[in-house]
Amino acid sequence: MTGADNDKNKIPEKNALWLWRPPEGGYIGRRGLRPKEAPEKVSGRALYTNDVYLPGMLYVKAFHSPYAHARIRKMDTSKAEALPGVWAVIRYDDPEIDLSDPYQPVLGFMWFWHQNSILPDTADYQGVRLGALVVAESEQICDHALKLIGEGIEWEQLPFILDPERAIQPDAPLLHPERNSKNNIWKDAVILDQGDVEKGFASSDHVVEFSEIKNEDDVWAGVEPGCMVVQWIGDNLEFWYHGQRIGVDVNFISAPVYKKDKRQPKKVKAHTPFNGATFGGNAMGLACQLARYAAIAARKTMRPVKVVDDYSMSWEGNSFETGIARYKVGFNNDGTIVAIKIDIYQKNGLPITSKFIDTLKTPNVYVHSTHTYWNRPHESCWKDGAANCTLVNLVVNKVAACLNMDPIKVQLLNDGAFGHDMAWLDENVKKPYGMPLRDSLKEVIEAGKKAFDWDRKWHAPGTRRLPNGRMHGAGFYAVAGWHTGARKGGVPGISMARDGTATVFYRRPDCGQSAATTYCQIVADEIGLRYDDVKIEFIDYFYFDAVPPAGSMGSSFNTFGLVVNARKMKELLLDYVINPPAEAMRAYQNAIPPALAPFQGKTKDELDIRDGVIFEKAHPENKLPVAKVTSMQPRGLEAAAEGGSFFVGDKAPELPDVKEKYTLVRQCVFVEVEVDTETGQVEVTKLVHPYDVGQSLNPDVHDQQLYGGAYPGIGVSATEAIFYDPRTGVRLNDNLLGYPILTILDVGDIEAPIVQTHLGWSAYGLCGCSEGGKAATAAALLVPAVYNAIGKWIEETPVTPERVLRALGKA
Amino acid sequence: MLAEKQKKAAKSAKLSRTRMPKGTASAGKGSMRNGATAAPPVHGTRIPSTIAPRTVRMTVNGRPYTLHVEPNWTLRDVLRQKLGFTSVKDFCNGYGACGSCAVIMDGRPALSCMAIAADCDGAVIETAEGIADARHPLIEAYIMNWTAQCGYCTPGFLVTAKALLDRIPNPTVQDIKEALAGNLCRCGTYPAHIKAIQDAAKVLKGEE
Repeated sequence: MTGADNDKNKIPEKNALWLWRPPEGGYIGRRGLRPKEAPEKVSGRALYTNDVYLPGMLYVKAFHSPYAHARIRKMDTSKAEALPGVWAVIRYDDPEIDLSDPYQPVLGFMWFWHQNSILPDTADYQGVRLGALVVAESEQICDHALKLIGEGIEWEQLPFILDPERAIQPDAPLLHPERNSKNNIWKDAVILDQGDVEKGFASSDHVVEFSEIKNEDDVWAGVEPGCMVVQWIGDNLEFWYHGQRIGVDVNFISAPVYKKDKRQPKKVKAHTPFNGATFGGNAMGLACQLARYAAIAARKTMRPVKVVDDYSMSWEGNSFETGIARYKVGFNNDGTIVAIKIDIYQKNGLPITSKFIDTLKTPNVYVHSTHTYWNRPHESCWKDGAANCTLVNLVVNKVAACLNMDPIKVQLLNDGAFGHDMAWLDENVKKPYGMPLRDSLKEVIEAGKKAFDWDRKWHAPGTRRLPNGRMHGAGFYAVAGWHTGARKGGVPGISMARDGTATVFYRRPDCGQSAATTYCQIVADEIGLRYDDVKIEFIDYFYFDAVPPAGSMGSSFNTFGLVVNARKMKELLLDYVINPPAEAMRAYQNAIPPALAPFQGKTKDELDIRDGVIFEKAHPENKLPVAKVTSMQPRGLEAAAEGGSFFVGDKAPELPDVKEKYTLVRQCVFVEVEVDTETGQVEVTKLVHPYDVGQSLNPDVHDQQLYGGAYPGIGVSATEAIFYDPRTGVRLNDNLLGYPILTILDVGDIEAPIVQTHLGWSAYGLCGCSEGGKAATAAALLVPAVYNAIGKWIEETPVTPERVLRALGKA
Repeated sequence: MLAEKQKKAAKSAKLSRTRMPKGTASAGKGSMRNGATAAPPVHGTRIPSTIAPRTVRMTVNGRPYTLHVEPNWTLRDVLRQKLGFTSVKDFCNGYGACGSCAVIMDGRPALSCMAIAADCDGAVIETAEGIADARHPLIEAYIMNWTAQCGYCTPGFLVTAKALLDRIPNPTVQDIKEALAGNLCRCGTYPAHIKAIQDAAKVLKGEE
């Protein structure tokens, strides 16, 4: 690399946020703090959008396609319109209402099948919303009206495809000839091309080829039903939002409803209630669509409306892992991976290979992705990073299996990024940017091996039978952590009340309660307040932007802005003490208030704040409660509106680019299983997931985030799968009786050791842990452990009993 | 139409619960997996009723209520929409599969989505709000053990935990797991509930 030292020179020390450290002895990194939003949630008094009922509120429901691929020829809605209690039926061919799909420019990668309409006439998968919306006085009436609409539709059924490889066969029916008249490929791209794989294979000691097949979808499966509440008050619009990207969605909610009358609301007021498990894409495109339905229905009826869609936010979004991946890997006798080539076939989705270049030093990597049309719901951001993990997991473990090596040795040998090994990263990234020369992978492995007892538990494949007759297996894999966009900051507001307490203003970021707590910890520590004296207010305006998806990367995104503004607040307080403004002196005949007199002539560097008390460092007895200072700020509406004298809400400064593309933190997952070779049942008895978070904000939060990865992760790898009827394309188990998400009974011990190397790029050197659980959510999580148990490699996930038995030659 | 398909799917899919990796019993009709009983499912009844409302009396969190209910209304809908108890949630769309609508009815945990309100005449019901107002030690234990992530399913867990402690004041980990087996959490908070219930049990015994 050239110019690394120059880069360092461009960055002032104050902007090298990865070198910042939390104030010592504070709340950051401490266990046992009282979570800020828990009392409301535990008591059931936390309001979610689904809990909102407004006077005179109408309900809105959409028609769902019964067919996997079909077009509406004619639709008679007269019976539904005549049903008592029905206020409106909004049709796909309504000439007045603007039903164009506003999400295309923003979320086109997930939304292309909507054919530029939020209410299309053609179904691309069974269950998709199309044709009509019903606005009625109750959900029951909506259901009844939708049934009548269904009876009045004349369909043109079209051929459908449920399999990505079938989609590219020469004799496959064309699903979208209007878009591609030759085949069913909508995107065919090289998504990673590093080095020369063919030369790499030629120089390798061995080359192995294998597949990963994931034909069944895994989905969000809940939790809070899809819903959105909207009402018009005069020319203004007010809404209650169930989603994640309110800053994006508000544009769609407030867009003109009528094609001719393009009036927009003069003011838009948003409420962001609690979110019931609103993960990733669940909260993006689908929320957009439901919000738009609500806005249209509310405008047409001029009544408050609630859109209710039990289906959309539970059963439609598939993870990016659904599809087929064909691997070719070249490696040497010592375990060095020389070249990786992968062909991926899937419907759509984000590039899923970044973890290769983030995690491995392999110089030659080529990934080709073929995205095809098929008639299953879209893939979306549901554990989207997990697909990354699967690729690394399978490549490393397959090489280890071929060489009869411990996979940990193979992982350590190949650790690196962008074709470089760790020694290179030490010299060219860590040193120039002043980062500690620690080896994250070694540290997470050390923590994990100890917690898991790896050296005792790992063994040659298929060699350890337990006293209960089952086969014992141990699996391992590691990937880089998540830190994307670490330096970008959200915009929190912070104000001090007259009683010396602080309020953090932020937009509600997501569904967990972690952000509310950790943001208050940061502000308390940086200003010098007690944690109990800082509260967070999720406000209804758009200025204080928590960067979404805040639930995924909230701490790495938003800590920067919080620290910057909390430090500004501290400056304001100390300035006020040293140089009292006129407002403070007015009550004392324009003289220095007696309480501030001992601080006159001091500099800010000579003062500090701790536990809500301002004091002189050299003479701690010279002190003053923060509340005494803040009580001097003016009263009155104007002061209240602006937070008085003590208010900050500045956007975090833009920083010059640094080499943050290099992910220096690592995580790994250890899994222990018992396999019943008679039934094929796989029981997960222990999971250990060490994660290098850089700097932990709250270990209790960390535990919960990692649990949140482990349970759905094991579920996706073991049980979670949506099945389709091959003759009709209808989903067979889109409900919680048929789709087995794991219960408290289904997993043994879970441990999540915390490693803190300060190698993250965000403030304090943190990288966050919210996406950390994704490593455990990879569909192939159990494959290496089951291989270790039975000595057979399973290429199809989830690892169901049937597939285990098939691998054993028993089915 | 979708509801009809889901009904059929629910019937055929119940067996798939047996594919769970470890010891999970299937969610039988009208019952939680911890053995509590409830009324049969009421799917397909969500159409306007033509039968006259009935009057029922029930006690919720110690307060008596007299209500006029349609024959097809579930207890969940009445508690949520008519009485404002927002702790009674809807996660599984009324399949009796998730436990988020759990209440304690006549001393036993029950799925309010599977109970017809008209059949609950004379019932004594306890919700999470009532448990919180009574300052039961579970509340503080649930808060401090981070049992709530998104929090949507948490009140259902709390109610089930209260019923467990009423029945078994000193539950083992296995007791707890079996009691909570009918409560689903997509955020994976399960380990936190075990710690919280153990903490609350200690407080109830006067150990803390």
